[in-house]
Amino acid sequence: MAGIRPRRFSGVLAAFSGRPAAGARDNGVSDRYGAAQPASDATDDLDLQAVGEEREHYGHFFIQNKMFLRGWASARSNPSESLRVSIVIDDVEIGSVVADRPRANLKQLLGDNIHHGFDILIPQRYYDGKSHQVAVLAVDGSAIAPSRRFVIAPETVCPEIKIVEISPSEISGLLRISSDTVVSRNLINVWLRGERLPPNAARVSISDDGDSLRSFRLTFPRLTIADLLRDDAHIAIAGSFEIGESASLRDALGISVVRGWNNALTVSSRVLLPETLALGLKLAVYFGTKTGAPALVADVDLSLGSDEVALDRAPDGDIYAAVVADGDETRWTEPECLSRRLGELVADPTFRDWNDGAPKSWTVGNAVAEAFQSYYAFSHEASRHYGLSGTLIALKCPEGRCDRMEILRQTISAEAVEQVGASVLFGLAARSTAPFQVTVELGDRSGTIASAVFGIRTDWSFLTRTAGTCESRPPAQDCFVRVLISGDIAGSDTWCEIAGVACGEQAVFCRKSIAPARESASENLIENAQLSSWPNGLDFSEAMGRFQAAAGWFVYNKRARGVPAVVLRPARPLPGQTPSAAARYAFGIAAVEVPNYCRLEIRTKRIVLEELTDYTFSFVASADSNAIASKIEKRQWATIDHIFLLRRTTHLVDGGKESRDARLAAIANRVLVTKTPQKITFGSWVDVRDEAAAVLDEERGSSEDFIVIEFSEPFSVNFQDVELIKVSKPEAEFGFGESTFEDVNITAQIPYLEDGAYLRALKSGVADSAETKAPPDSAVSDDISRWSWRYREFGSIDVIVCMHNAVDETLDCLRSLCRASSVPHSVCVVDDASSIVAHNRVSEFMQDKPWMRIVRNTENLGYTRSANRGIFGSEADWVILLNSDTIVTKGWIEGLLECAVSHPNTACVGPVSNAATYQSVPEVHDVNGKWCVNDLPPNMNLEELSGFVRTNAQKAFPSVPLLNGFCTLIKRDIFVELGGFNEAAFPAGYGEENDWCARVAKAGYRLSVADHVFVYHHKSASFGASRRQELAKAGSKALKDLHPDIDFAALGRRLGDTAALAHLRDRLRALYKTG
Amino acid sequence: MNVTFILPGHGGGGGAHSVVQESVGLKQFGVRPAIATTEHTMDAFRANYPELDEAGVEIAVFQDAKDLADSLAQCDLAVATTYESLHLLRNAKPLCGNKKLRTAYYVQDYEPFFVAPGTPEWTRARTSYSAMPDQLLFAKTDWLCEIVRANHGQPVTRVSPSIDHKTYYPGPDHSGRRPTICAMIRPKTPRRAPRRTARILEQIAERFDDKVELLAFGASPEELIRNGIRTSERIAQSGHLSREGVAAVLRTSDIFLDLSDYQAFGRTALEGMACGCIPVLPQIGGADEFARNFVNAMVVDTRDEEAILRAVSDLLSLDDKTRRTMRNAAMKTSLDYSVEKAAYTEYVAFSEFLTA
Repeated sequence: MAGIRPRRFSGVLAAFSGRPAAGARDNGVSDRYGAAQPASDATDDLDLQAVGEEREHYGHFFIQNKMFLRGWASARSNPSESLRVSIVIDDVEIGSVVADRPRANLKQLLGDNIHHGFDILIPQRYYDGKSHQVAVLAVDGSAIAPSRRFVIAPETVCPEIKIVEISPSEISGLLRISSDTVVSRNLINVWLRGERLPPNAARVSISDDGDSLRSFRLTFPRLTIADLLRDDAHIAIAGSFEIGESASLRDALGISVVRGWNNALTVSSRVLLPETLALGLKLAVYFGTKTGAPALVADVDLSLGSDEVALDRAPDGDIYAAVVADGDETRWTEPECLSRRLGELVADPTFRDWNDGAPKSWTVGNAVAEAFQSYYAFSHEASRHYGLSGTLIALKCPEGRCDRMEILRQTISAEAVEQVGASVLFGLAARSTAPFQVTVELGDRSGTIASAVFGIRTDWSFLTRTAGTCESRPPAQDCFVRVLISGDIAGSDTWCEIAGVACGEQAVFCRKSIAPARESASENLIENAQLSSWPNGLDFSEAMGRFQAAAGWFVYNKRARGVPAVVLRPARPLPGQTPSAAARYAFGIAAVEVPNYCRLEIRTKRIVLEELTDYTFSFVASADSNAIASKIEKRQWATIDHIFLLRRTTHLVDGGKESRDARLAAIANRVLVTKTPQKITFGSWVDVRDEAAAVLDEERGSSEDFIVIEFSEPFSVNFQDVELIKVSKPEAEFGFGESTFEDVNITAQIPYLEDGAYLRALKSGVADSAETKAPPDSAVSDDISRWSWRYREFGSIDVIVCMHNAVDETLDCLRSLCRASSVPHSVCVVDDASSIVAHNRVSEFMQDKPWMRIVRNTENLGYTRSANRGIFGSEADWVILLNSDTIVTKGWIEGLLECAVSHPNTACVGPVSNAATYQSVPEVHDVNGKWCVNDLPPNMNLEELSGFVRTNAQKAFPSVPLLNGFCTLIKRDIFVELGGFNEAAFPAGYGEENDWCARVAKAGYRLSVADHVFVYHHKSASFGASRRQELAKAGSKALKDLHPDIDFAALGRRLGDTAALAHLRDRLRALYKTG
Repeated sequence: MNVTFILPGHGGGGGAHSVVQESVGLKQFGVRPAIATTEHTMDAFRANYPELDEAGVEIAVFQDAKDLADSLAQCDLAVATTYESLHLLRNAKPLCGNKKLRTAYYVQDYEPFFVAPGTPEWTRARTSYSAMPDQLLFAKTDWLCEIVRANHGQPVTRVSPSIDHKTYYPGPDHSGRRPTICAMIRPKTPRRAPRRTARILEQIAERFDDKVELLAFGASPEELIRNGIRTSERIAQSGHLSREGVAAVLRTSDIFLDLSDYQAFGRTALEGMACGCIPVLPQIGGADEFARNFVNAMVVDTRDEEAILRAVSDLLSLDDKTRRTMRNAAMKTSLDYSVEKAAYTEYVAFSEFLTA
């Protein structure tokens, strides 16, 4: 029966105001017909006076047993007809009922037509101690009897019924009623397809212990349970079905479908079903949509509690499944989406993550003698199907009787467990050296929530079981999943290997661990970023001058006649983004005229000026062409003139306050805002502080920081998701990871060992490169340095050198690589169609150096494409792009790496050099103002100079806006993420490095200079002077086109002025003087 | 000079074997070597080392310190080869009555690592280095010399290690055939990282599928299972192998994995190199005295499994020419280590000690 939709009957009750029937009470719960009454049919109150009035539809009703409405109704013109009446409480229809129950005492009025009675339960929501008015209306809206008032105390027990067990012959369950309710077999009705079964269709037996909770049993002489299920039987307390309260047999069956591994759907029932119950159920599976014809209909046999339906293909989208009965058109369960269910409750179900010899997410039981990480090469099919990682945990089990011995446990979140529904899927992939049984259990402080038993065999088996969860349970606390052994373990040295433990509703061994508690997002430093606070209301038409719109968001249109229009709008989703559930807002601002500038000033938390480069500002903006002011031309875009960081300092002066603004950092210029919402990130802020202002700032008054978005022409723009975050530095951590010695004796002895060059290796895996010795007779020449492993956890490194003919230079470079590089790396030379002679010379040099390789472009592709080829073709974690006309010195890779790991967001690192534009030391420009190619200091060779730089540099690792491309350490996955060098715009290798740096900065990554690493650069000319000029010009133009908002020259100057470099330059200049 | 090496037990291990070989080698320098071994294992010992009889090296037997003392009556230098034999020697020396007897201690490994700290064995191992006043300590690698010197304050003389080129020699180059990777899995010595080795072999099996052949030796299947190691069918288990058996396996393999926690020397890797097999060795220890990363071997921090797999992957992705270059470099390196050379360095060390 569909839920009743309350209808309001305004005025009807008001129209009718009869005087209350004699003998009936106006209000109050009628106790007159309570427990003292005999059998229910005889409890009617027959008010003959009411009957006497000339109404077509007439009858009577009263409140019985505190919460039942009992009465009768008949039609004068057709006394044999059973009327349908509506029950209306406080003008809301709560249900309708056919008045067809027998009432013995109607005989005197209606003769043999005594089937006019009705009972209906007053819904629990009216048990509130307040007075309510109830009326009973016939189909034509006329009241059959005067309305009544009732009050039901809140503590009144509302009757409830619940089915607990279904067997072939009977349905049993629990009944909750107030202890003084008259209990008779008519208290429980059975409804089939919305029709009430006659009383003799079922035998009802209710326990009579007199408590409010009783058990009942229903047996059916002429119907089977299968018939009842098929006909959607509902069991209800008399009078409650009509108000939509009943226990559905199908619901009680608790058929649930969960999606398991192998893309199999497991169907199980919550209620224990006997084997002999033939239900003829089918599962209808829909792919992608829950309407239309099912993709698959399969038989399901629940006699064993669960059944599996295999899907022959894994659909890309959602899977919906519904249960249908054989021969039945309607579905028993609504198609439920199986893809968005709870998922895996267990983190790291396949034991991938280990730390110090123990699995990170699991605790091994005390009774387990030994546990270690193992691995098994499962077949690809098995791995893929079950989501196995290959890693296993091997556990040594104790001998003898094990009574629920815990071998593994994992704590899981109570929130996740709260969402678990009626059933849970357990999975286990295991084998052992002798067979035994284990139980996988989901439980909490109060006990077991669900569990399943598995038999482990000597060969690998991948098992699934569904288990019903405990029905009513208290809120989950201290939840866990654990694996227990029960039974006997014969023999010592019994090992059990577990490849996966799953518990959840999807129950595949997910390759990824479930996400832990939401990653602590970096705090958004923008005040009122959610735009939820508008202290001055939403109407700013009366505002003047500079005013606060949303809290912390100020607007000012200088010298304009009116103020900018500000509107709070709902945020729009980005293309491809699904709308979020939570309300999000956008700040719409528009100005029709901008005589000077119009600013949006957004207040932020205090900015640390020394760490400007750690901040990233972003927003989603869209230009609104449906402008509030129609005078703005129909444009598809708007332009933000400047975005900068402002600090406003207010201090007290005689007679008042004075404010001073200081622009601290330039964030962006000429930013284009398009009609489609687009996220724009500004990671590269330029420090433009005025020294004097900074001093003032510290001395006086209070200050506030604002990000200012400034327009200089009319606009209409919406801003949303405005975010200012600061990337925080990690604790200095140098990646001597978590792997350990296998032999615990060794680990245990480390603290007893004395330090010493060779022994440091034991303690931390480092062999100081300075202290390694060449063997007395080396099979390989000493020209090649030994490799040390200081940066063990850093990742793999590939040095890429692009070459076009300059062989001698390239060989010098490669020789220097051999001598200097003491960190494991490989070298790839990209030969851009050099002459065969050149190619062969380099190949020959590499012959006895297996870590070096050469790839050849058969036609000349140009520098940019060659570099891309080398880097994209590498598989290393880091690449160092090195010009062929460079010479490296000892410790160069270590130095670059040291700089790279010092800050989390670093994408690129460059060293200092004798000739590398702004990275040159000691001089950047020569006397003619051109880029300087510095000579070595007198009486110093390259290694000595490099050593000097290493010891004298500040090691400040400054963040810079640009890097010279002669030698760059690049994090390869960032290179790939940003698409590499732009081959189309910069084919010849002029400008591609600047474009690359600009893109890196805009994406919020960091470029740094390793100011303690010196790499020598010949600065040879690959092209003639005029050709170079041509290429440079083309490069510049391309840069301007791609980055109109960036002044590269200014950025370069900024790089040149970096304090750390200035310091180094000073030190070096001294060397040249002393000579 | 008369030199007696004290070598209890039935031998069979690499350390015992090198002592036997070096003792034979000392003969050509005019030394009269002898080996003193325990009586109850004598037959097995003799069976393991027939070359001793052939070379005329005397074998003395003893049951206890007294017996040992008797056998040292004419000896100039008694050399202990393990900490246990050193303590035995310490007990025997006063009973000996041989005034000219001097003692030496051949440090073949850092034995305190073999036992758990705090145990009596551990104390005995640690005290062995300074137990005998005026003894000559000598070891094969700088790493060993340094670890003893730094922790026990005793100077250690460096001698050259040896490998047996009669047993370990290369076979034909087998490019064109799918590469074979072999490794030892010996559960009874955890420092040899049997579990890590099994894990790595399985991961290689999974990553490279049919492209490589995988072979393990060192323990019977029952022994492996008893220790919780059950490898998949992809890994062929050869069980316990004799030295010749190991040599044969090395000869047919392209890569040998020694994933021990550390290697004081790395004998099997060097033997592998002699057989034309490129080893992957642990970085911790003395391996880098002969192994050069990406030149004749791959040296990795064996605690980092990703690094091990990367090294194997790098080796497998070498083209034939480069692989041959490395193989040749490996074989060439192994030629620097011979019994004659080792014996010579020992002869020099002994002479200098005895005449000092």
